[in-house]
Amino acid sequence: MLCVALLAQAGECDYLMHVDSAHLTHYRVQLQARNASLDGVCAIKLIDGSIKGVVVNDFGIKAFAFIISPDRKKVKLQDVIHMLDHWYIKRVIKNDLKLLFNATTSNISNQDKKTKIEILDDGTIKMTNSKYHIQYLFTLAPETEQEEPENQNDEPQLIIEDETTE
Amino acid sequence: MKRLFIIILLLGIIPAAMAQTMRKATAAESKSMIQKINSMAASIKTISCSFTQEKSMSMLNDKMTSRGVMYYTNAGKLRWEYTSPYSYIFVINNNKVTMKSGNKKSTVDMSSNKLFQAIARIMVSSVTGKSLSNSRDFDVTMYCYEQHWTAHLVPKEANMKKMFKYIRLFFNTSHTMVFKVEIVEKNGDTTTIRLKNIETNKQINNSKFSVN
Repeated sequence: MLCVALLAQAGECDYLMHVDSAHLTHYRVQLQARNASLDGVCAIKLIDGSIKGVVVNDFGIKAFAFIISPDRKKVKLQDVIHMLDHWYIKRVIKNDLKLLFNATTSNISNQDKKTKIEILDDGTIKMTNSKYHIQYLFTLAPETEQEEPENQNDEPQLIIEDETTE
Repeated sequence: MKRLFIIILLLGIIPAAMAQTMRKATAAESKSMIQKINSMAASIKTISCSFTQEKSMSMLNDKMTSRGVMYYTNAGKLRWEYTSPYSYIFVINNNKVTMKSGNKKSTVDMSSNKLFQAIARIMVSSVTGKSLSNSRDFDVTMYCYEQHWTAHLVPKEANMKKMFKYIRLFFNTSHTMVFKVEIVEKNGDTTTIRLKNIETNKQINNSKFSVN
């Protein structure tokens, strides 16, 4: 039993995409498709064995959220932005996420021929879906310091000057 | 037992008291508030400030916080820059939008892109409070609180409706300037932008509106 647990733990560590139950893991994301691109952040967390994630653009607008089952075989998308909310686009995203979250350091060279995953020199995970001409780049973002709680009632400091502008 | 009774009573009273602090403005009050906001917006030549942006994500039971700086001039120039935890620059200048994420830079001509025209219009409106009357993008309802006013903006456009439930602009009653923007998505996730160290009509170097 202990061996199984240790093997399972070893398997977890082997996955390319890092995910943690205690903290959010942030990846910078660059998605490049034929007629569209997305720069933003993918935030992921392990919750009750499932991987839950949210992809937002740089302004914080959500592109989609996803849930990957504990066995990493099922991917569910939700809150998909209207531009991506078409069954054929969602099917591609689900398949690519499944491949990405199942990629390990040991199986990276045996990937599906249509979708290639590689690790760049700076540690960025590059996934190329050659069938649909989509390229994804995931770069692990540095951990941010714990933010101090904001005082919700703080009135902003306002300084009004009357200098000549430009 | 008596103490418990008092606690229960207080728990009932406090939310009721809090609820009373927010009140929908009457038509006359709304008109007066919007006039004051527009008048203040018209007197503003430049705004510079820092901001924090906090995004709540109910699915992850967590939030993302980013920080940045903003520069605006009434000549239609805007720089919205995230400095932490990563760098992203969004500049509107001469009818063009330039974005820089990491080393990747791209420029879009707004005159041929309705989406960017709408983004620019909404960003400038949100920061200055302009166009609350006869807004082409939102149905606007004004609310009064004790120390601030709130403009409750419900999107009119179909695609905007799919993304946002509503946007709230918080105005300080003494300066009639926006100090907080709250964007609420369909599923209730909220992005809150707090503007800090706001300086108006201070000279802003033109280099702020170009991206290297």
